[in-house]
Amino acid sequence: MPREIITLQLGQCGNQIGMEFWKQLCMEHGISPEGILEDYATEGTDRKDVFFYQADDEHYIPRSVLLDLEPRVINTILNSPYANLYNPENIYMSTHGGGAGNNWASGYAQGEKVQEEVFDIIDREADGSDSLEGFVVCHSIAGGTGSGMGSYMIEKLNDRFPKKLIQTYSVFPNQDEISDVVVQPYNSLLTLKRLTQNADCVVVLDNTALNRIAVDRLHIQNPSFSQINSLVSTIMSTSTTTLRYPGYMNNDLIGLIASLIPTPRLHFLMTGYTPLTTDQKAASVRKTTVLDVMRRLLQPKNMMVSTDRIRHINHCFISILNIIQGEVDPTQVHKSLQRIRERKLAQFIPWGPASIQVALSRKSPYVQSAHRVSGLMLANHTSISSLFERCLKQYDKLRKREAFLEQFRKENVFKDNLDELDNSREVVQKLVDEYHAATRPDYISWGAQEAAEGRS
Amino acid sequence: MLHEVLLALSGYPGNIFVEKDGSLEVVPDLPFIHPSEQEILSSLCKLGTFYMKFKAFTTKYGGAPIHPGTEEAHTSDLHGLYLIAFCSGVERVLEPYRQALLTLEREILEDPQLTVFHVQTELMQYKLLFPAIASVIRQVESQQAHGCYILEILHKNSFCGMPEVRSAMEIILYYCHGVLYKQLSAWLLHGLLLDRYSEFFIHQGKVLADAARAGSQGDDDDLGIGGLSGKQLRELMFKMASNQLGKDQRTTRTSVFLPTVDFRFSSGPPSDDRCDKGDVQVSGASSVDTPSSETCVAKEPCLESVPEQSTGEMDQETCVSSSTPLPSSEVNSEFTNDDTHDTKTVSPASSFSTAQIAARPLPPSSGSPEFGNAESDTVPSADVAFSEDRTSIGVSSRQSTCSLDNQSSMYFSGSVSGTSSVEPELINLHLQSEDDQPTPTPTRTFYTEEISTNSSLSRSESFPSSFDDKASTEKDPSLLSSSADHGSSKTLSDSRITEQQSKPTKHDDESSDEEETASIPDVPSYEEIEQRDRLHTEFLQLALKLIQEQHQKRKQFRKALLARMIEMRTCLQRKISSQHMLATVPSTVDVVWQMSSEKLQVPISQSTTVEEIITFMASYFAIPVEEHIFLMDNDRAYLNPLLTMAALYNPSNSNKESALYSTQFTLVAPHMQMLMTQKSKEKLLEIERTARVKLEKWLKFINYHRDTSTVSFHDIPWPSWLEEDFITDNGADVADNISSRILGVRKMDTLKEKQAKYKELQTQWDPTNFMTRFGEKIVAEDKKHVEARLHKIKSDLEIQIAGEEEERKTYVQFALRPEMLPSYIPVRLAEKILFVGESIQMFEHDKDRPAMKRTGSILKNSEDQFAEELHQLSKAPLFNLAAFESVIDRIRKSVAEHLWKLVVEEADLIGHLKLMKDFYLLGRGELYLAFIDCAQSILRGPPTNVTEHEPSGPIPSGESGWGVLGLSYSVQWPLHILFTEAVLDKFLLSVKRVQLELQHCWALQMEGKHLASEQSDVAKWQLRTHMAFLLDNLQYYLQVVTAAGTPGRLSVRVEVGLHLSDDASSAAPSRSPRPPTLARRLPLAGLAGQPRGLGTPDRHSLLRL
Repeated sequence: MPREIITLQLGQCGNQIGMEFWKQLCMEHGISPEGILEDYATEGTDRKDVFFYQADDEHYIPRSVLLDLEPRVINTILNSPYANLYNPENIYMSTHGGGAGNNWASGYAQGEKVQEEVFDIIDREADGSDSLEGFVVCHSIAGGTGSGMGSYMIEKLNDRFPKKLIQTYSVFPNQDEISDVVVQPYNSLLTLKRLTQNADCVVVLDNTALNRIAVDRLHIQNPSFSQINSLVSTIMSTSTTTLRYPGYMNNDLIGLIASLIPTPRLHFLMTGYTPLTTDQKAASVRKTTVLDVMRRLLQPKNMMVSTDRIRHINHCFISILNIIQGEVDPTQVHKSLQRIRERKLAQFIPWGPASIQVALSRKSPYVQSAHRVSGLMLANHTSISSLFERCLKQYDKLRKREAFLEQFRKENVFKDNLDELDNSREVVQKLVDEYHAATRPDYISWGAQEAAEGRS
Repeated sequence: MLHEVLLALSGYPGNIFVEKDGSLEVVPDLPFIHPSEQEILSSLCKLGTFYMKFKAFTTKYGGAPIHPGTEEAHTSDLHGLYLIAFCSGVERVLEPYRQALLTLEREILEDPQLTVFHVQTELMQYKLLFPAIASVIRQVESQQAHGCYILEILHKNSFCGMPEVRSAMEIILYYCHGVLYKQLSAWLLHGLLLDRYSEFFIHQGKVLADAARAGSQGDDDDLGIGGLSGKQLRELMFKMASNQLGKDQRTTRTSVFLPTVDFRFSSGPPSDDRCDKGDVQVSGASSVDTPSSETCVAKEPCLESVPEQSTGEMDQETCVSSSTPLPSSEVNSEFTNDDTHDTKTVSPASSFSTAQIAARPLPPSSGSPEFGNAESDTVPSADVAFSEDRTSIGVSSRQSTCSLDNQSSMYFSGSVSGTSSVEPELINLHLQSEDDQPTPTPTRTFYTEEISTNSSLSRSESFPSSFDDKASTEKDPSLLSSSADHGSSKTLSDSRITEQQSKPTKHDDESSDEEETASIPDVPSYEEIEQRDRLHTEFLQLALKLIQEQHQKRKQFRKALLARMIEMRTCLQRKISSQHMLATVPSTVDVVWQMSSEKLQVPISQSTTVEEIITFMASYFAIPVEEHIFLMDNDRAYLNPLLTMAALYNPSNSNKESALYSTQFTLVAPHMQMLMTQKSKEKLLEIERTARVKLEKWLKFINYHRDTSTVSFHDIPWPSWLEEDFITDNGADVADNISSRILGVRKMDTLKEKQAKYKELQTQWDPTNFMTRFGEKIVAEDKKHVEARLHKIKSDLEIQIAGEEEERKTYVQFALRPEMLPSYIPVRLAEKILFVGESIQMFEHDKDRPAMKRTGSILKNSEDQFAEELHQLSKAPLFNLAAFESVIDRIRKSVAEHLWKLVVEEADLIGHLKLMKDFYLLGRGELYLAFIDCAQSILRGPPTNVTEHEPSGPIPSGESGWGVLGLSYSVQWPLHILFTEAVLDKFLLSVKRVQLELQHCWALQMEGKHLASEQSDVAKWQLRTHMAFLLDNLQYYLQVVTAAGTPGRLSVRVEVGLHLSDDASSAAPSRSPRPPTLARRLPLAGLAGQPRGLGTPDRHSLLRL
């Protein structure tokens, strides 16, 4: 009786990283692109049924729902070797094929329109699982479908499955380059509101940081989307590894994220992964020990969220979970933790207990790695607020000029007024405030103050 | 005079040297002894005293080992193989002394002018040696040294400045090491724990309690089941083997019995309280010159004949001793030895004469050939007669004593009680020699005849023959006395047979007679006179002739007696039978007549009345009750009639039924203990007296009911004092005890033995067989009852055996016995030995497993080599620890290699470890996750009957179902050596549960994430976070650091072993095993108090929130 997880892939970005994710899972579980279990993988003790289920003909089908308002990406998937992997019934493409046009409002509105069909699919998937634990949503917050329809879906999921967890892998837009989506700040802000209020856990995948890492760490001059996506898929698959390769702890999604998220709104996680390799660059193999891995994970340059150093705010970790894969001696882990504590490599919140938690996990036996030990860090860090602040800043710039709002006004949400935008801004601002407050010891009373203010 | 001196030096008091307070002293003020001479003589006397004490010690303890049954009961007493070996070592050390005496004698004969000074100078060196030996013996006695502890004492004492003493100690130590090596090689090479007397420094740990319990019943192997148990057989074989091995050095010990003619005929009422003892021991040994040849000759037949004979003998004795259908198995001929022991101590009451055996410190005595002697007449119904004729032939080949021991001691004390109409008569056969010095009561005669030691006999012969006759008839005091003169050139045997008759007019009187026996003066019944002489063949012939004559006479006498008995019985029957139907009693007394080699078992009567039984019991058992316990070493002879009756008398009470079965184990135990602890004669007498009183009570009780009631005996109320007798002391339910006892005892044997035993038991208890023995008079209901009971017992046994087959999985654990470990063997070495033996035993035990396709020995057929090495070691005069250890190491290495292969490769140790980890340590977290999910609703409440579908017992009361949850893991062969029984660690599970609850709370709280946070919410969040943090970390610690860590280290070690095994030094893996359980305990040990307290309150407070 596994705790099943249904994956929703929304929009171009969501489907792309989703596809990479499934590729990775298939590799790790020894499942062929057609969904057939490879001969060498028949003896495994891994839990495929968290993310897959078996069709009548024994081939594995991902618990995945592919949603897009334009057929391009999904068609790519359907033309890839993995075309037969997915359940065709789980693929929903908008009939008119126009897409959301990078408009959150459009995506949101279309989501509303197609929700019945989509929820038919989701309900079917949910009914097909014994003990559904939750949903994983892959999307970007910048585009139209991923953000708009994603927001709608998250809201709806929260309504319809209040007991189920919603975890999102949300791709944040690259701040360094000029985006071709001009309304990106609007989209982001509106999505962030949903992520704050309706998701249980948001794994922030910052394209800025991913690009930086690809350039700096992997020495790729112009990282392609697929390269970035492989990084993302690595993170996604590793963060679910304790679910798929059961061990002592963290065998369910809630166990994984509950320890990371001490308060309801501070549920934006940043990730780090080391050692990073790509297909092109398999050369530099170093000795990896647990201490090495854990130390590197704490370095900001390995963080997959680009955060600005803000001097006046003493940002700190709210919680850390390190998922260590490979042949690890638990005593080594213990020693490493002690070392890190001694060196004060990680600074934690002053208002509560916190420490690095370590989840040891097995590695897939079918994926060869040059490294003995690899680690993923899921961290709840207050500095993630800088990302939101940046969002707010950009939004404010745009909003001041009232630019590009025509498209939004066309949709129902903004037909009458732009309150939704203001409301979203308020929510995000509060979130930023809370993150800032979380760096201070009086965070607990902050909550109370805020509540009191709210009442008054 | 000088002969007197020599005799005194040999430990025999005479007229000049008298025994006083256990030491020899010169009679003071003899006119012909000069004071200075007196001084020398008294100093020589000291030697003699020492020697006498040594002799006493070796004869007392050096004989065949006491039966384990008694051993269990008298744990405080000295016994055991090591003691025997010790004795033989002492004997060996005394050898030169004897030699010196011989030389002296020759010199004295050659030169009559020799002075006593010469003697003194010759024996000078022993003045140093003897006190040292004496002190060792004292230590052994005072410290109750047992088993390997003797080695310790010897070893300590061997550090001595005096070379003689040192070498003597080393010799003794060497002998004792012989036993050690035997046990070691059996253990190391075959995994057999040949340790009947719990002497070895390795013992069975697990079943010890059971064994002790069973043992306290005086039954180890012979669980009321006739037959030589495998263990005993093994023991025997082992002994033989040890003989063979220790051939060269042990010739002294290897005494093969010369034909011993031992007639025993005892009958008559208990009032026959005469202790009659005629011991004639004629033992001749060949010359010193050819010791080796004769030993070789003598030894072989003996060794070969041991198994059958011991079995045969056992059977015979069984029949003799136990008259119930449940024959006791008195296995080896320790019987003979016991006889001597007993008569020594219990003499006044003993109606048995002891066979004077050539007291050898030796195991082979157990295999002494015994030939049933011609007792041709088979009297079918001899009520009272109990005779055992035994001719045991042994060749005693003591190297040194080319001396003939002609010992005859007669003790005749007759006290005729006037009031009682009992006139006991004894038949007294007395062999005396020419210079017989007849002494009045108590007569102690000793005669020494010395003949030059040059032996003309190529083959040594010694005839220790003891005649012991005791007969008493009821009427017609026929005096059978015969005296035979044995005229030979030098010896004359005078035998006198006195027959005394006792005529009990009333059976009830016997008790009064018994009382008198207590008053009989206590006279040493056992005397040994060693005579350095050569045996004349003529004398032997004469003696034999005499014996035959005696035999004839006795036969006639017995015929008369039996006729009388039959008459009496018919008379009784007439008297009784009219009154009522008597409860049937099995023919409790069977007499075994031995006709040359074949034995014939004749039940005295097919249908005996109760009264007769009582009569018989009174007559037969009253006096020698205690003796029987001693002699037979089991109580059945004494008990079974009583018990059978007991059961019969009260068939309605089901408890009593089973008492039949159980009391035979339980009843005598206290007696035995008492016997052993208070070995003094007075105590024995007292016990005896109480036994008699009890018997008398019995008698009266039965008689009373016979007279007063016309109803059958079933209706007789069961008196409480009888209950006391028949129910165990602690009042434990006997019925319950049986099974456990049997089970406990049997665990120790292999299954095959068990099955064999069971079969035997089945046949023994074959109802039809049993019934016929019961006789025709069995009432129908009785029959039914007995049958039902038998059926019950049978089915019980079947169940048990079936159970045992499963139980095989729970293997016997062995452990070191630190108190037995000699200090010069380091503990690590002992542990190695333990390990080797344990593993080998495991292999041997399961070799026949079909699953294991292993053939051949575990030691890769290098067994021979190792055996040879051990043998070489045992030959070495000094114990060489380094060599010893190296051999042990080699064996261990070989075994460990094998074991490693088996455990890790065949049995997939790593896989099992993983399984353990996965399930016991919640390694399969997701499984438990699901389990908790599903079971939460069921297990939340207290357990009910339906919680477990097949409740196997009372459900323990826990506060919730979680409390009683358990997970058991059936460990498969051969991994049982590594894993002990374990249960699911509920603590881990509860941590997990609390964690889940907290996560659930988290989920609940997350629902309100879009709402503005309230003050109370924040507090809740905080609380939850704190608790979750604590629990997460705790769980992390438990699971990752401890649970995963420790087994991880273990796995690493096993892996290391894998690599090591390539270069054949796989010692490491085998040593590592035990941590899994440790790992399991560690988290608890470290964190027990704190988290347990935290876990539940957390949950409660949370739920409150």
